[in-house]
Amino acid sequence: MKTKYWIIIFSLLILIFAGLWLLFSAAGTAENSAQVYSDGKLICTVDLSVDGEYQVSLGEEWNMLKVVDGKIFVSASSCANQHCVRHAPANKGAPIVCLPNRLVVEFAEEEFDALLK
Amino acid sequence: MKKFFCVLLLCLLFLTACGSDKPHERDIFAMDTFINLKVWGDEEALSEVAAQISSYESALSVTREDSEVFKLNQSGSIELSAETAHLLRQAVYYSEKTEGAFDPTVYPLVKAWGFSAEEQSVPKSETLPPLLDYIGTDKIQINGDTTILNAGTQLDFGGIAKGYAAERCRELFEEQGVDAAILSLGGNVQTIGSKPNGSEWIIGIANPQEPSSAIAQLHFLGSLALVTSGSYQRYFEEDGIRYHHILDPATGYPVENGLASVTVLAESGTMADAYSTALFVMGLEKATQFWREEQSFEAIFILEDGSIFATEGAAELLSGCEYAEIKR
Repeated sequence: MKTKYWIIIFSLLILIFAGLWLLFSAAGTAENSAQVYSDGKLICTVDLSVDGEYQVSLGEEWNMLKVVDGKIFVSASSCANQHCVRHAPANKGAPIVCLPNRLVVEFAEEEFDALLK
Repeated sequence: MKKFFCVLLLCLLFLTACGSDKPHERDIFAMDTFINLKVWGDEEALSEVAAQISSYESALSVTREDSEVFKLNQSGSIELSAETAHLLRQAVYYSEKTEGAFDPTVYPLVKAWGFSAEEQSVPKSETLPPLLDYIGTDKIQINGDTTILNAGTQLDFGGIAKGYAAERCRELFEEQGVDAAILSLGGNVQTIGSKPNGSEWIIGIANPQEPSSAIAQLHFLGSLALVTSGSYQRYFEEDGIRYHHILDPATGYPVENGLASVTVLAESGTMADAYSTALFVMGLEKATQFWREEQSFEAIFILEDGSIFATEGAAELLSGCEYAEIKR
């Protein structure tokens, strides 16, 4: 009887710890979100489950970010080459980068260790 | 009771260990690209590597007026630092190995197309032929520490500098005893060691039609340099025609041979970088022949029609796509 009692307590504790670990892991990665960096500084974390529009400015330069249907993309930019605007809407994988304006949009969920672009 | 607490402690240690798999990370804008560094273990190693990358930017940029390359291009003769002179010798070596398919003297052509500036345009037909006289490593003289360029010849390490930087950073990480790290410099990736959980590196190869997504994946363990050169990486359109940045040193025009990208896998990042450009310029047939002769690298070719060709060694690591294997 005493052994059974300890097995139940032990199992419950394991379940609680595992649950807490999973909870903290999920909170740490904040899935379905994107981190927006400007010149190396984290500007905001964007919830990709909500449609919206965001402007990120650095001096006189700017990028417009849009979230539509769970994906984020650069809808317009003051940069000359417009590479960032050509990047397809994304919710995971390689970051969206605007090199001239030093903008980086990173995702919590990474598909690969790196993408050869 | 004692046993119970021992088991509980072990469980907690296990859960803590699971959480330590996350690498330390740093992003840098340098060498005309976005660089992402990840290291498992010693976070301080990141700072030293980041500083090293900044030093390469300072020495090798073609546009920074204080860089060695800018000064050499302007004056035609300077004493290069030991490291820049070493890189130049390597660039000349790979240029000769590839019979000029990779050439560090293409800068006059790059400027004519505007690929070193914000505005690009098709040069007038009479502009390019005279510039071809300035192209070729026979226009470079290295006399001891002094480097002399023929009049009109200018250097651009854009096709080799990132690979060289990745290779040197790998050495730096290894000297510092880092077990695992990965550097991503746009089309250049360098893996170092193996991740603490023992899992394979997974590297995506960009789809030339949609470069933000992968067309295939490479799975492997250990240190490897991987470099992709693709016509989609930098281009402009004029009168409905697309012109990309990989110029044929023999003609001065963007290479048009049906290739959309070439990925090279090698132990040396410098070699992988130089050869990815060279193989693109050579085209599939000649590049395949070169691979058979060299036996020092592996390659993956993606054609404009979407078909993929992989050399034997690359095919062993490739997944997520259909491909034709190139045999020795």
